[in-house]
Amino acid sequence: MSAAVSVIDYGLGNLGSVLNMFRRIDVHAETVQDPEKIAASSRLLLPGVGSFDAGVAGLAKSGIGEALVAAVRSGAPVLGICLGMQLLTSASEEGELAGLGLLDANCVRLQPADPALRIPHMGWNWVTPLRPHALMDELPTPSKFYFAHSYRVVPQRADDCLATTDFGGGFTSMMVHDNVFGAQFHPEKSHVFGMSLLKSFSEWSP
Amino acid sequence: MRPRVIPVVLVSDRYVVKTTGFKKPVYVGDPINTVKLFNEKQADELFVLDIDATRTGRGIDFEFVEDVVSEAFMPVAYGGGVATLSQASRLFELGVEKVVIQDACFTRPGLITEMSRAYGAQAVVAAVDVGRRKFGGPAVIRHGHGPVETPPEAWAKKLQDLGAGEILLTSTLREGSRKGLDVDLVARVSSDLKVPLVVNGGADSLDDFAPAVKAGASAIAAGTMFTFHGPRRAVLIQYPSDAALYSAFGMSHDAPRTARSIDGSTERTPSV
Repeated sequence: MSAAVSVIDYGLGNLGSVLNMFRRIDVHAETVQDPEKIAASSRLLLPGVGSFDAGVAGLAKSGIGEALVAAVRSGAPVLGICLGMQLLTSASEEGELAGLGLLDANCVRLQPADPALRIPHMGWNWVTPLRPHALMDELPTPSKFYFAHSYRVVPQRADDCLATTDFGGGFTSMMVHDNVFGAQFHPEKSHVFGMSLLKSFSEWSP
Repeated sequence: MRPRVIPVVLVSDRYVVKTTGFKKPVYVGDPINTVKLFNEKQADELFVLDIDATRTGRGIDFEFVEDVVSEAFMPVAYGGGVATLSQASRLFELGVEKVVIQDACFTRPGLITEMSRAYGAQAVVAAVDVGRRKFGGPAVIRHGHGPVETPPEAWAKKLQDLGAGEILLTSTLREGSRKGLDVDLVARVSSDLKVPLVVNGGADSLDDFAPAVKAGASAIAAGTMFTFHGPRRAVLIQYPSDAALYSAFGMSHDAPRTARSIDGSTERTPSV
């Protein structure tokens, strides 16, 4: 019996699409704002659309960030999406405030060598796994996902990088450490590929 | 990365319509069904534009937007009557990926900056509609008000500098005509632009796509081409296969087999 996925509502991120996709794949998901409920959740998703500092501020409000850290430390798997993934790291060049530090990584601005590649990196791109992982077992090969971002994560440990994507050079598009998983792309906007990934996440035992 | 190809769904009073040169809306069908079909065909993204919201002062039909977006599992950009930050916030909560700002570019350009700061530049699309001046020369058109002094390339750059993460450039004269995309306009507007440019208006076939990208477009938007079929313009929602799209851009459909080098690893290979 898998419990519901708690989709964290901290004021940023399009909850609608995430909930829609979970509904389509028959996974029970609900939005949560209450820190106590978050801290007690057994599986969490941190969405994110917007700027880093706005995200940090949203998490700091009402202790949502702290509650998420508590849930993660007690072993609950968490998936951070796009800005959500970046907020799990320590810091970002985009902002001044500190991230949650649940992933040993920081965020830097995308700077593709090729001037024809414009920022934000917006559109469908291939995601290439570096190694097998339960989270990617059901993913079709090759897989494409939708990206919309101007910053990328830089993991401190190469082992934490799960998959890369090419945008004028490779960058980390998925990373994982213990029970903390992050995806730079938007699974909820990536139809069949996203559905597969979210389904795997809902069943993942780290 | 393959350039995006984006169907444009124009909506009027909860119906999908198609216009020619922004006039003479013709009923096409039910928006929910249209979006479902584009979703089945795995369209890259969708632009859903309410052509009445600003003109009639009706404002945004949020219930309708929610219904439409719930059928789309790819990014949806919504435009039509977006004039405040709180409207944008509500749209994002419903699942809209980006908002398209048009009239507000003239009446409240500061809104672009506010939205960009709050939600990120990638969430804000500035729509630039270009027609012709009375005596030749392309001109930015403000609907209901006529042409504007500022040349299209300067106008687009201004909106970019205000914080728009993407420019939707529509040729009003070619819209609905299938006469081909305005490649010259694309070259002109994209030359000084750093953010992605989406060109719209006049696309007739896959053959039109590569030249527009070569001229500087980052993505192609089309309405008529994906909505009508044949000489009698029967309604048929269509979208090319991924393989056909890669081929149209002269790109290989093969995904990279091995992961590219990244920084932060012991290899220290230069990357992005």
